[in-house]
Amino acid sequence: MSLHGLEEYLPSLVQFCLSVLRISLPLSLAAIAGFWSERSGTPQVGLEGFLLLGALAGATLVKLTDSMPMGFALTLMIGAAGGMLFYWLACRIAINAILVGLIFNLLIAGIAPFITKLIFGSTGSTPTLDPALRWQFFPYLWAAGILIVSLILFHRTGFGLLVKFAGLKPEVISSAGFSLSTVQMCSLILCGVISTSGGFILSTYLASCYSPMMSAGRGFMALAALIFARWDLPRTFAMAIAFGFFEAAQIYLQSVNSPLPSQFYQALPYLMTLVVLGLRRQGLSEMA
Amino acid sequence: MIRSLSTLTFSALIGALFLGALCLIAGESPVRVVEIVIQNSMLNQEDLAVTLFYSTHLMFAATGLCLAMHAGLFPIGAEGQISISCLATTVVGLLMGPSPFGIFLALLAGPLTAAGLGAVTAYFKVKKSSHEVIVTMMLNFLSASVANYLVSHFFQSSESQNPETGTLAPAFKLFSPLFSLANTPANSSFYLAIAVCFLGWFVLSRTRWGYEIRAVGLNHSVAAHSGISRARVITTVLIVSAALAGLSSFNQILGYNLKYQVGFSADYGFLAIVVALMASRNPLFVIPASFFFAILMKGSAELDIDTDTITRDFVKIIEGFLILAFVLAQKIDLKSLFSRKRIDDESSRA
Amino acid sequence: MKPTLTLNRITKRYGDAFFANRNVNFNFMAGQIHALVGENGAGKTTLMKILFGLESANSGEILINSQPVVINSPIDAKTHRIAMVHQHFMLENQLTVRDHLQLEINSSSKTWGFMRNTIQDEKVSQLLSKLKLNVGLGTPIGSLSVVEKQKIEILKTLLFDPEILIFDEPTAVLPPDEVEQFYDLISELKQSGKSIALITHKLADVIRHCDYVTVLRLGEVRFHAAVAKTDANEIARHMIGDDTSASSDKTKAAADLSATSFKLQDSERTAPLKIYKFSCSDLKSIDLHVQHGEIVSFAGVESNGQNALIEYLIRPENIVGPIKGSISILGLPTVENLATRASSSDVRALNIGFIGPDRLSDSAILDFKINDHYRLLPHYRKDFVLKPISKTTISSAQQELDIRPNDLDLKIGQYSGGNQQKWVVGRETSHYPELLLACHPTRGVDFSATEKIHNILRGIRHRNRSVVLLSSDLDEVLALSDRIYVFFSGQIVGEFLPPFNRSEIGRAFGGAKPSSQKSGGR
Repeated sequence: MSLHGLEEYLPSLVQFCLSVLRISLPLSLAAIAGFWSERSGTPQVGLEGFLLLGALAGATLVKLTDSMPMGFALTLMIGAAGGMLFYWLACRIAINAILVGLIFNLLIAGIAPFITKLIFGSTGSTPTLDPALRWQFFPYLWAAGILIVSLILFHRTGFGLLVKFAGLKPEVISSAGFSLSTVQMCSLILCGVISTSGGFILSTYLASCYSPMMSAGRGFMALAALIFARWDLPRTFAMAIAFGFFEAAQIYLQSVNSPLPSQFYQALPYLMTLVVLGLRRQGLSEMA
Repeated sequence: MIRSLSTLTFSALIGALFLGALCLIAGESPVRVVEIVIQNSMLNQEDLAVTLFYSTHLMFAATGLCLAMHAGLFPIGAEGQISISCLATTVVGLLMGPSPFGIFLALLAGPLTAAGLGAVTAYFKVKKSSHEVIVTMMLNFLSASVANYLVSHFFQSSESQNPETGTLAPAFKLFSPLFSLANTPANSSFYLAIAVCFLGWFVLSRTRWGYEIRAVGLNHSVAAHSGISRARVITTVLIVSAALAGLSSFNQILGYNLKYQVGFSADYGFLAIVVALMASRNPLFVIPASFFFAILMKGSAELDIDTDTITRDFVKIIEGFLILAFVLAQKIDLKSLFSRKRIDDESSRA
Repeated sequence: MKPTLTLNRITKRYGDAFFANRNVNFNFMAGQIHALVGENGAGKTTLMKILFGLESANSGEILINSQPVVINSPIDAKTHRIAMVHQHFMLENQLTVRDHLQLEINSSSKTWGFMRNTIQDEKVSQLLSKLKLNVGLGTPIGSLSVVEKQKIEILKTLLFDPEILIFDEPTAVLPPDEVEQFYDLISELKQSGKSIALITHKLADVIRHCDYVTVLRLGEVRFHAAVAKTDANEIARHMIGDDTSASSDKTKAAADLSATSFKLQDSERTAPLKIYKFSCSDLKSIDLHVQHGEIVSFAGVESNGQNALIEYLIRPENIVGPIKGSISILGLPTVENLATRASSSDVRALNIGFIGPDRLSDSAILDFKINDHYRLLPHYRKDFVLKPISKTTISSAQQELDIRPNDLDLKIGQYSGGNQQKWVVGRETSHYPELLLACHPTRGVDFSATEKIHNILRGIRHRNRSVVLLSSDLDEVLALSDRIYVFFSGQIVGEFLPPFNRSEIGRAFGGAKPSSQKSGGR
């Protein structure tokens, strides 16, 4: 995935586009996961933790089972469990969801090295995976599939309609006789599954092992993409790819003299989010 | 007060149980782990000094956070405020030189710049009704990028390969080292931090402004009917809490390093949140809570060397479990209080 | 004629002593409109929520065609063809008409999976034209008018062809010209054989459009009759609990007292309250004044404008325009020149007291202990470093109003509701305000403390200061007032001077303008 210089890129624009897509994979999956959580009424700042969880679980399980599909399936199950836990803490016990997300990030960041040391005896990274196991195209198909399935679920099923109401006006759901808790639980399980799959791809496809803190703020960037896209699914996906583009461009620009510093590209997603927040017209009501 | 002590004890016990279990799974004796942590944080003067240095950072930010949390806010911007304030102090000092005026400006630069970040947060909260968690999170990332950029493009030290600024003149060292130890980070801003905690407690419980903060946080509708302006309270508290976090520049730059190193912060801002929560938002309890987490920070640094399986990141698990147990315990308390209240309310609606 | 649905001895209790509904009987008859009236908190909405499955009763039964049925959720209710149009619309502005209708359809089949355009466009467009609603299914709710929103709510219910329809305060949000249209629609529904229950405050509507009326007061049925055999006056009397004649003596005594109380014609001191032709979004041309040394009541069935007015006095920033007229409190103009000129901080800085109508959102923070509770009054937080409240102030309030328990270390929330109210009254009268705005000051308070609070109010008047009393307890109003303004539908329908004519005032509660030259104004 290293970039060698200007000459190699002009003719292979396609390659560049593919690399942008590749880099964006974990980010876009995290963003879709965040979409399900936030749209159903649970603010989600724990995507970073979920990504790390998926990355760690993926690299570990694939190494242990020597099989990508097996490791993937197990990782998804762990993601579902993580989503359930999040639901239980944030919706049933009703701890402030933001606090739950922050605690989640903290716990995963702490447990990860513990587990790698326990299982592999290493001080941070998991051992490298056999390159023969590495997928060729499946992650792209997976991401596209998740996007399409999410769109269908959200716009064409009773569940999606319930999620729409849950995030905007939950009372309507109960007065129609549905169970709000069930809607929240399913949404958070979806969130867990999708975000962990993004982490899986991060450690097994974009890299060949898990390394500490490899999510590198993508969880928060996914949140920024969501906010910038005003919680609309296709726009969110597009924003995530755009942020991936910035990341790729930043790497590329390190080898070329450019007028804008690399930190600008680093900061761009967050700056854009602030701008979007600043464009809103209405201030707090009940302000004396 | 009694309730928060019992909540604390309860959560400490639960946390200890989990952690003990984890240690055993890892094949280490929990007692040994505790031993290492304590040995490396308190038992000799150099280590204790570092511990106190960490706790100073935590006390400044956590006190500000207590104030903001009492107003019903949850701003997580301390990390960015700490970085930017330290950078501002260093930059102003480098640009102005060691004149009395320059030193004075450098002193002010830290808290003022941080207060500026607080003002931005307040603007977004009041005028745009954005959630302060999102705004401060974005500001944190932006601050990191800005600091990175300024150092690498303008202020990079010529004497070092590390990403850091040049060193300020010795006249800038306004805070003398503690225990007369020249080589440790601890300095007299530690005493200032303790004073800030007392001051924070005093303001919150004994002044009109502190009262307004608490009223707005508990029930802003009733507060408004009593003539307290929610917008004004939120704005001032966000600015002040940011300025308090900005006092870290006294500890880090004017008391220790005299230069800004990119990435110097060992997550002080984030830990301050944990400290403030564990202290039940009481600035007085921030003192022991900061000290406790500073011990964890310092003492766990050697964990990967002294044990086979446990790394320094183990402390994150400790922190995570502690805060989780604490919040869970609080929720259980609140639930029983609520059910009693509800009965009263219904019966009063005659 | 046998009822289609009967609610039999429904009882709903909260805690040990509070009955939201007590042995309530209510019948739905096919092709009839049955009005359910009562003050706020009388139990009307609770009863209907029980019927619709949003609440569960402690005892009693529901019979449909004489067979007992169990209704545990709105889905059960819909299965039994019961529909409810809520007071606060179950609508989300950002979603479309189609979304809401689809959700309703999904609810009966509990659909979570695929929906294949299950909205039968034909049926829906039939209903749309029946309701005279000309909106596309893709229209977001937020762009609909209030009338259209209500029609969508009704449409939602009609999707299942219900037999029984419940309307909770349907005309509360409608502009007056739309009210007639609404009742036209209702009578169409009635003619097609449906049984309708209507929860409402508007007695004039009850007389004009309904067939039966049941009055609830404090959770119990107080009165039931065919509308043809009663009138607004009688209904109003039962709503406010005026079924005894002993109170007329109190009225007389009060009139005597106010005649002899000391009144100073003091034009140098600023008038406590002057409102001149004030209009805004929910009030129309309010003209009233309060002089020194008098107790003036804002009376009427709850939420007919008097509550909103008091809220605007304390929090002018909440007034929604277009604004006309002027308001001046103790010399401070809070409204003039088509805009608000002051904030709640300015108003509270005046020497006034405020006992709010909704204690939990106006006057008391339950987590505060007694010192902090007192500091809600700006008078007690004048210094930057707060001083403890003087023990004499606190203990005199406690003794005078008999606040129990005796422990001063408790949080306000740990006292019972009535005692919380006493603490609020004690606080807001402790600094001898020039003007006291007292809303339901004795709500939930025991009899002897009520007397004491009344005496406190009289004491304020005796010191040549003023009280604005907002109360729906007619006895209280008659016993204390020097003048009474009656509010109805956001306007002042009459100003009454002693000697008070109880039945005329009661009629004014129902919207009837007084016959003599006593309309509100300068």
